[in-house]
Amino acid sequence: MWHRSFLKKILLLAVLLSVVLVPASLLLAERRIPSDTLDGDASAILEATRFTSNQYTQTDDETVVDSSLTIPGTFSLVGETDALQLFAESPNGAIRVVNKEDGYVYGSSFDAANVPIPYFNTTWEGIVNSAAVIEYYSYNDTNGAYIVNEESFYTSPLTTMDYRTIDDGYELAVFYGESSIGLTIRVYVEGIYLHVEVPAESITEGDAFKLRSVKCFPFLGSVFGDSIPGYVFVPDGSGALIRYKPIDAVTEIYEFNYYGSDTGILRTGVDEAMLNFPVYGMIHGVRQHGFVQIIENGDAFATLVVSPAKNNLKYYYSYNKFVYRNTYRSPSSKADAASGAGQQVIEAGRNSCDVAVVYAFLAGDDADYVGMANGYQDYLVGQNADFGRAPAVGVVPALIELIGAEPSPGFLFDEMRVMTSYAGAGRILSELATTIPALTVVYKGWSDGGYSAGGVDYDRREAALGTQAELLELIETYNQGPNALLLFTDFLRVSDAGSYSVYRDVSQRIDTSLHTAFGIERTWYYLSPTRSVMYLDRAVDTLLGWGATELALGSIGYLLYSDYRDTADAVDRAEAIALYRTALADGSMDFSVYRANAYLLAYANRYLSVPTTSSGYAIYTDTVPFAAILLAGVMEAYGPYANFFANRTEETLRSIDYGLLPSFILTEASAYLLNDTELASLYSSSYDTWREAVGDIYGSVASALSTFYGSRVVSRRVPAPGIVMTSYDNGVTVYVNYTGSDYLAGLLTIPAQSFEAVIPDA
Amino acid sequence: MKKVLCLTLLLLLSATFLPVAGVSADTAFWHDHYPYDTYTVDYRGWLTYTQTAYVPLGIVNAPGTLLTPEDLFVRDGLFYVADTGHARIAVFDYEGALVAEIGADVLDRPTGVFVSEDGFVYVADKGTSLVSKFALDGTFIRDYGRPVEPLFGASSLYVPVKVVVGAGENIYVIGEGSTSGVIQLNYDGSFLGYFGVNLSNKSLLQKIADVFVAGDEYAKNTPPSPTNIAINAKSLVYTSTPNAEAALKKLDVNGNNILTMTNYDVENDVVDLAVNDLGYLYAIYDDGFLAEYDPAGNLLFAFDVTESTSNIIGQIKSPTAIAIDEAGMLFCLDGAGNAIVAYAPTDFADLVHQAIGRYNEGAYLESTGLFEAILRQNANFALAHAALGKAYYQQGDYEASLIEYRLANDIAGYSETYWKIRDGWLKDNLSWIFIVLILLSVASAVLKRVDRKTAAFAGIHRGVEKVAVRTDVRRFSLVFHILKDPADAFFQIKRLHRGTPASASVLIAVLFVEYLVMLRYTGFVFNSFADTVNLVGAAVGFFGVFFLFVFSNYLISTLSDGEGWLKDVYVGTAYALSPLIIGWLPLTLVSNVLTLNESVLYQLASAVLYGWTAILIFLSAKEIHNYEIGETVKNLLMTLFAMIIIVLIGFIVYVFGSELWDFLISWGKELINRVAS
Repeated sequence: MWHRSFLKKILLLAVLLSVVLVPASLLLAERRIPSDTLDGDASAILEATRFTSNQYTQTDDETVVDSSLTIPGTFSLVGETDALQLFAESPNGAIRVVNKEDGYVYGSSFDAANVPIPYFNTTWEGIVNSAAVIEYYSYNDTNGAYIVNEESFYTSPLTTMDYRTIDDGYELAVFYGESSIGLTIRVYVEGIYLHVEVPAESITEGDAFKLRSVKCFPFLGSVFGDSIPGYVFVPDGSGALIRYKPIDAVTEIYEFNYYGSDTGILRTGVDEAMLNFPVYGMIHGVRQHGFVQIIENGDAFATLVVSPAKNNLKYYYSYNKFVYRNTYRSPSSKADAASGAGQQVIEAGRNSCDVAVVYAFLAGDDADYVGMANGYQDYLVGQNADFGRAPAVGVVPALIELIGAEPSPGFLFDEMRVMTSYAGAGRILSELATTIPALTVVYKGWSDGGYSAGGVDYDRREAALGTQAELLELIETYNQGPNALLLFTDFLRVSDAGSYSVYRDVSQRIDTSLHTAFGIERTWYYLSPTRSVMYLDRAVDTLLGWGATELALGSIGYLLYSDYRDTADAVDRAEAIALYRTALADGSMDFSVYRANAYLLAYANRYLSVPTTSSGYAIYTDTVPFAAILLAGVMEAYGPYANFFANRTEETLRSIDYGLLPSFILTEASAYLLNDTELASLYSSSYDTWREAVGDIYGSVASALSTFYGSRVVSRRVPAPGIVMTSYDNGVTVYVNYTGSDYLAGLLTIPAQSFEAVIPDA
Repeated sequence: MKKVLCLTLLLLLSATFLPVAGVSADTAFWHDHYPYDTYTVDYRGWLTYTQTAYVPLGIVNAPGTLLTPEDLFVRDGLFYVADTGHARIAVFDYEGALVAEIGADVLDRPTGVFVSEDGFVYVADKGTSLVSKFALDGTFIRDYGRPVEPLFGASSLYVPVKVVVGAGENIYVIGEGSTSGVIQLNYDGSFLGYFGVNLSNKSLLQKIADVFVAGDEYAKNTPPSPTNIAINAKSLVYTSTPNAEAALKKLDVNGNNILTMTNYDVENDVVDLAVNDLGYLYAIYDDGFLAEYDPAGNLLFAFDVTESTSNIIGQIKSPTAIAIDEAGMLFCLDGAGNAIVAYAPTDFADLVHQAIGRYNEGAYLESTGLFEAILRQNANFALAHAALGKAYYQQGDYEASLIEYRLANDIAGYSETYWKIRDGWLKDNLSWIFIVLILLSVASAVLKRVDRKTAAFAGIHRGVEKVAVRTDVRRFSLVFHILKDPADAFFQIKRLHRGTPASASVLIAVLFVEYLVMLRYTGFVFNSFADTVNLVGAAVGFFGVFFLFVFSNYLISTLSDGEGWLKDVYVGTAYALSPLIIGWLPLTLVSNVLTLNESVLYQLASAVLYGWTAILIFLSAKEIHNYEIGETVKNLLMTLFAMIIIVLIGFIVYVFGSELWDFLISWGKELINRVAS
């Protein structure tokens, strides 16, 4: 019978197996290498190099600096306020500004216009002595390319300057002879500010040459080599200083686009530097003299140009350049499109750039980057009384970001990986609420499609995460009292899976290509600003009904691009800004914004992801917490995520040093589930593994911040490398010691890698 | 046809989107804003993000002090740089001050420098073709010139570019173009021999070309020469060779390579390597890729320090050397930027080193805590999972070990642990299994006797008989019949239509389902990538191959007087896959309980199944078309050829089609451009 022989075979197999079970040999190679403990002696050397690198702030040279510029006879007083005196030279409009508080003289030129300048040739002399220098395009017939030429008031003898004084200033109408371009520049003092304006309606162009850019007073505040101590301040990321150093064989000039480059026009390139605030400053003598320039209008088209003292020109100078017209490549074949080549074309019309800047002059203790930040803060408050929401003093909130669901490639279709369900979120938050008194919760990936496949419709929850009732309950429980639950929404960037129309909604670049970016597996589309705003309004209406009172907005804070989808009605960056501001001015819903640019500060409830580093260019000498100081006392400012701290102690100290609130990304499930999704760069987030660390980090940061949180910064000094001393306007002084050895400050000892808060006696 | 056209058109349309290269910006805040991302290796053997391991600090030396330097060595708090452009060895301290200059009057083009423990500076000079020895204060001691021993080779080159010195003053010299390996010299300059020669690697094409070329070989049989060298505290020599099989080698006394790169294969060309006292290996590649390996050869961290466009601290224009000091600080020499760039390890890197250190000492319990700390900070760190798996195994926690090995994709470890678990299970349950088997055989014997003595089961027998003769059942029982008597079975298919296209389609559908089950549920030991299986891909592969074969076979058979209709070929081939239909499911089930030790059983079973299927396909072709054996062989080969041709033609059609589409698009764009401007 067949089944008997079959059974016999099974028996035989069983016997064989049990006999054949030989213990397996170790297949992993033996690795036995004795370990020695690392030498602790060399760590001192390590530290010395570390704290003098440009990731930290350096000690200041406080040598006294006296005014070096004079007011030549060709200058006359054209404006005066209680704070400033303005002198101008006719007819070229060069200026001298005297800060009455300390008597220091700032100038846009070095001497009278006809006096030769050492080290400068006539072209450069012309640039120094002109109030406004333009760049224009000229078309080269032979190779079909556009050449950019620079013209100052003195380039062509045909240039006419029509100078006349106005109230507290002057107005200069110039017609450039070489390019036949005309514009008017208006300079005047008002209160504590010096205003410089180039009204857009005053610009006239001829037929042959088109205006590219204008810059005003490029040499205002320039410094010869390292003749005086001081620095240039660049708002790169957290903030960076370029201290004046001896003249170098450097040849580079640095150009930074505020708010990033316009990817609607420029197709390639990744910005390394991210400037969120349209300011820069120059200090002549630390805590003695200096100024900060704030762009009132035209910031969307401005480029900050900074030049170190080089062998040929020997001066540190910086200025803002305002670009009216760009060139781009129009591809004529697929190969061209892929490589970014094509025929060079310039924009037909100018954009809506309307230049208006103000200079705030600083004296005494205000003349450093802290003074610049406070000065800019005062300016913003002056512009909009609703600016920010003053944080509750003493209560230290923390940002908890939860990831809900994320689609990943599956067997049949994309499967939805549940990272934190609604119920799970409730569990995590209830546990955290026992140690953290105020939770700001951002829930990402809560909507249908998870984080990467959600589209812009935010009107349905992701069913895999739980029921609608659970979601509403979660919102109700944690969106009250000291806690806040923010649903994350992104109306600018969507992945290729989502319910929207590529034809109607996706932005197009100026060369008619679709505005896209590569993710890990998916392609991401940038939506047209007009459509994004429409989806935002729609979502706000829906979510208000769910009990949401605040939304966390991604991308809109830092992505700014122009849109040419509708060729008859292109949206340039300034128009996009206006659209975003109108949308966020909606009174019914509050918004918290990630890495917000300055134009959204007045509409943001909280600032998420405050930068703590700069791009680290070799020319930088320091990194300073300008962004954090700017927001201190006026807005809740949350620092970078603790999940990515490579040096936990140091980064915690940095949060205390900068005064930033701690942020964490947490999930219920382990982060390795995200390894093949768009969130692959999140490698550590599981609450079970982070529970203890969250408590530790929050505890350390809160113990420090509770002494001063909600106050403005008065001063920040570095008495020794790796030691920072910050004073706040409530009298508290905080010492942070990054180094590995104790520091003695008078009678106070600050232990290694720790902080001390000195609270004044009541 | 229309549908196909529409589909093709749609596919080509999608190619007109022109995305820009850029990472999705929303997760940009998840990186520390250092100018590079740091990677480690995940369970798939791919690079995955991790915390920054080395943080750039800055440039050590002042500008202008170096000119095209080519080598760097660190000892006792001093940097020794082969300052090639200035023809000297420049010595800097950690503050960057130039404290000494060695050999300025003697050297010509120093490209290699080494400082021995007893305080002598050895310089390999490419210009003078000598290895020079100096004291620390710069006093010249002696040269090592070209060896005169006949063993060195009369025509061998002696152009020293790099040098290291081991215990007992054994001098190891890397000569430019010395394909025989490292030149080993004695303290007195006499030649001891070549050391650590590389393997010459001829590609397959070159070997084939050799067959056809008359006379000399087409490709030279000389191995690539190593270009850089390092030595550790125990005088073990490491060499690096760009563009070779084993780019990084650790040589034992006999010159054999004892280093295996286990988890990631870097494909770039290596420029320099450095090794610290604990055996950690650092390598820098010509495009700025920097990798750290643990003593066992596992890639721990990798990051790219290539300079993009701007001068950011930590980026390098053209790397020429790498060095590491006792504190774990990393230094890279930028030949084009004339700078020594310093990097400091982070707490995370220190944690990883500590964990590996404890593990290598055998302190598994302690290392468990450390690896868990690593995984808390990076859940994708495959090495940590593998090490934890081993640690749990050593502690006897097999269940946890199994999970960790699975997360690490470590098949060997998983197999071992599973063996232990199975062993335990069998020990507990073997007696029960035997009891059940014995009971079953007894019951079966009893039932048979009862059946023979009485006719108690006659009804059941009749019922089974009745069902078995039904035509539709016979269609499927053919699957079993074909295993016993294939010739008869194919005859029945062809003449008696025992198998119909409908039943064949059912079989193919069943087989596809089994195929999917096999892809997804085969035991982890034999199939570690089950979760990357995709339905569409599997379907296209399975049905594509099957129908292509059937169609091609029919085409070829028509041309060579085969008797079979398309229907017959289809049905015949479908039934020829019977062994797979019967065997795949049990095989999949069994694979879940086997370990690597029994892999031979699995492979044997698979081989039997596939072999049997092949034979049946052969017989199918023979019987259906009524061929002789030779004709059948020819027919099958031609079928294969036809399949390839069909795929090729399809590919060509696609390429031409997309070119045509591109042309139309660009024509349209040009038109719009001209009209608009």
